[in-house]
Amino acid sequence: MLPWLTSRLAQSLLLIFILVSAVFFVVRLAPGDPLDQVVEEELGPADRELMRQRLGLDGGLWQQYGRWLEALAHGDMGHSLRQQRPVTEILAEALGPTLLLTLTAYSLQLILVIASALVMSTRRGQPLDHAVQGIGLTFYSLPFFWLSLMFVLLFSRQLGWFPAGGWESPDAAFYSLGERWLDRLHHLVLPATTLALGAFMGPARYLRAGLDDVLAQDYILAARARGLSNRRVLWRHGLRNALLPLITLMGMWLPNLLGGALVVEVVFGWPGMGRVTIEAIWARDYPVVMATTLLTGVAVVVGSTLADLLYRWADPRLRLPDMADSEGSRRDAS
Amino acid sequence: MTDTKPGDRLLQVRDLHVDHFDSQQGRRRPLLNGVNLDLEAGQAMALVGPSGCGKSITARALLGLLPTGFDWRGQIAWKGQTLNDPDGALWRQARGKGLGLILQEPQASLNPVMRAGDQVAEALRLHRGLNREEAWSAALSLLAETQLPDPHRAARSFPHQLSGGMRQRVLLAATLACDPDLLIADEPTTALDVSVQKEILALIRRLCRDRNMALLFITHDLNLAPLLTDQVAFMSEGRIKKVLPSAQVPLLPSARKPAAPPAGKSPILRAADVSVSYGGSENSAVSSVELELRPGQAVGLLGESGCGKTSLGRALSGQIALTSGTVTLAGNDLGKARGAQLRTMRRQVQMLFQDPGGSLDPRQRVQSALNEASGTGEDAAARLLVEVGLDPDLGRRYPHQLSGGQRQRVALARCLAPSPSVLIADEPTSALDGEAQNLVLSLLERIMGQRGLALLLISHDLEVLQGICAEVKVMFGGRVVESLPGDVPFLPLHPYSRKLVQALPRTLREDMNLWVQQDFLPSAGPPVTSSGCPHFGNCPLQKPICGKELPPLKMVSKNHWLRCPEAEAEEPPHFIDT
Repeated sequence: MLPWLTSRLAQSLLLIFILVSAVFFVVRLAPGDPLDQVVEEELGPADRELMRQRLGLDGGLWQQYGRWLEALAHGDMGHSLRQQRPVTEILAEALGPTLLLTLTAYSLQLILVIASALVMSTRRGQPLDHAVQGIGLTFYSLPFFWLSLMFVLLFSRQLGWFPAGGWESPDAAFYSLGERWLDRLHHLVLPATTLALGAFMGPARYLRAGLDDVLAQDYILAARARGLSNRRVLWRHGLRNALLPLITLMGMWLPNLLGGALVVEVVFGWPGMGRVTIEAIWARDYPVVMATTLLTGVAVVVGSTLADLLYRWADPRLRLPDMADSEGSRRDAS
Repeated sequence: MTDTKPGDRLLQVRDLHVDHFDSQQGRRRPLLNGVNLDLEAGQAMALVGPSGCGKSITARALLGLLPTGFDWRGQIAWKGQTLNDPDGALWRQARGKGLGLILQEPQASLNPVMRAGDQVAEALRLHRGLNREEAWSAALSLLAETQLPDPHRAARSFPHQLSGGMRQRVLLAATLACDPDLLIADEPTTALDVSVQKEILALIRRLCRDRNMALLFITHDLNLAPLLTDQVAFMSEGRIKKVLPSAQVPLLPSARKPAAPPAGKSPILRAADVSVSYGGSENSAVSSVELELRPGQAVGLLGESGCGKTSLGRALSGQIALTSGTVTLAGNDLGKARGAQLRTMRRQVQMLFQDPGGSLDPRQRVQSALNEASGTGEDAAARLLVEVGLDPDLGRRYPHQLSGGQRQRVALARCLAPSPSVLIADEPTSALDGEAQNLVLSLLERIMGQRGLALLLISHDLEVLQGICAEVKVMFGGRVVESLPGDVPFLPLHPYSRKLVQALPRTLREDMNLWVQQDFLPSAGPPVTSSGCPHFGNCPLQKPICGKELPPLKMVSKNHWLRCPEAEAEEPPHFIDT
């Protein structure tokens, strides 16, 4: 177990290093000069050079790379070129809203995934199966920006049930703590629902296929032959086994949790990581782009490692060794 | 145990029809055409027939557990009550309280992520309303009743940690938790080794007697059917054709005839002192095996799962590296060959596997697979298909469009495509029906003679080897314990070989005493130490010395080698003609 984890972590560190290095060079090879974004046009060439030095954009590409790596090793992600303040500060501000949005959206999505997979598998070929698939696939095939805009039009402009954007009202600073959180939840409904509805059908179809496989197994037949209720067979013996591969899929969700939902955050004006990333890319704000990339990379690695650990915990066949025995079934003869 | 008395009517089935609606082809296929069946309390009946005759469908229909797409009509009555309610509540009640089912594949019939004890306790909590602790201790006593050697350990284990026979015992215990009046056993031992099969069957027989439990025993093996039952029902084409009292069921004659005596050709493949071990493990899967294969001649490897026969087959074909020893093919050392030479040598040694469904690419047409294997560029498919007795038109099909026997013959044709000199057939008939089995075996024998192939036939089943193999090597714990002519009758001396022969259904039928007297405790595995006789610990003849020193393989008569000085010294035992 421990050697497995150690080698896994070593691989992950190497992977992250390669990732950030690649991003460093790719971003800088793209056309455009960050100075254009922060400096007034009429600045003379000498002043531009001075500015360049102060921002750490002087010297060759390799020199800049060395400086950046050294700073990173000290936990310094640099200063935003555009906002003139530490990158860590920007990230810290954006992390809270992003986690609130994505954790809510993904919990909602998980519930939708399990519920719809159960319906599709147990009502196979029946009207309810077709209805769930039809609705789910429609949402799945609509682009997020369009879905978001339609939700804003319908539930915000037409019906006026939910606010159209932002994560709190303009006068939120005057609210009490409780009111402030209620206000935030009110703002949360539309973006979270958009995210969950737009994406649940992919994993749901995956889970449904898994559930179909598991329900055709002999141990399901044997459990039913012991007179167990359909509900218990479905949940305890069916779903419990079918959910195993979903763990891997959930590990891949983690980067999305941190990276934020780019499109949805931009449309709803949600002050999260997604919006920070998009704005930084437009502005050639290198330090911020590097930082969000690094964070996403770490999330990918942590997510997949966590998923593997969770899988080992959930599936005893990976956790516990076989007992070698002379008495055995022919099929697994080695 | 049960509340029924002998003679009470348990199950009455009248004119049972089952259809399967194939939605892809849009037509209805009848599977059962009017089955009538009566079972009284404590009665044991066998349902025998070839695969596809509707045995398993009958069992599932009786339990109300037909898969979707299957409809039934007719009348099924359980203890006088007709089971016909649409929502299945009566069925569920009958399943929980009276009907029990055990299945063929003990690995697949247990939930892999649930501890064995929990799976037994689950039904107890549901049906007897026990709380968690009560159910657990009741589960332990059920596991003890099914003769698991260490019920506490077994209860805490997950299914993959148990051997096949132990898993089948756990499934039995979980089924007994419902205290059934009728046990339906659908090929309960088909996936098990012969010696384990005997233990499980003896256990089922005893449980049925002790608990006054009726038994519906479904099997394809005509020699097995009468062992457990009072009556045998013969099924074919979805009907029960006749019912005979078990005592009147004839013993199926062995189809095998004596093998040709060994001819004096020089060996093409020679294995000297071959050992194989995996992953730095101290215990070898194969230890110091000597073997010679000659053109036009078959050698048989007889042994149960885990004895190393498959590892040996792979080592001989150059698929896995040897830990020590040498394999020479036509005078060239297989272990020293590299690159192109190794690939050429591998083409000379072909392997035929147990499961043709798994060894053929499902997305490759038969002719494409055959031409790929022949590697000459010309169209060899038709010629090869004819050689294995198949219609050349089958070349255009995909593997799933063939029957199991046809698939195995295609797999054989693919083995022949590169014109090998050695064929290693690893349990080539275990996944097939009786008829397809005989077909594949006689085909192997014919092709071996025509092509002058050297054949290594690996099987757990003595009857597969007999008649084809001039020489049979019995393996246990990675070592050859005995080597003798594959004659009919087969006359082994080693205690392990004799135990195998005595566990054969044919032998059991011939001498019921063997069957009744035997205990049904699971046998222990081979000892952990690598010194000493592998059979030490299970052996009725063991002496202290056997645990320390490995007896040598000694010649006891012409073509008969034995690794047991005790058996050699004994009076020749009473043999059963198999």
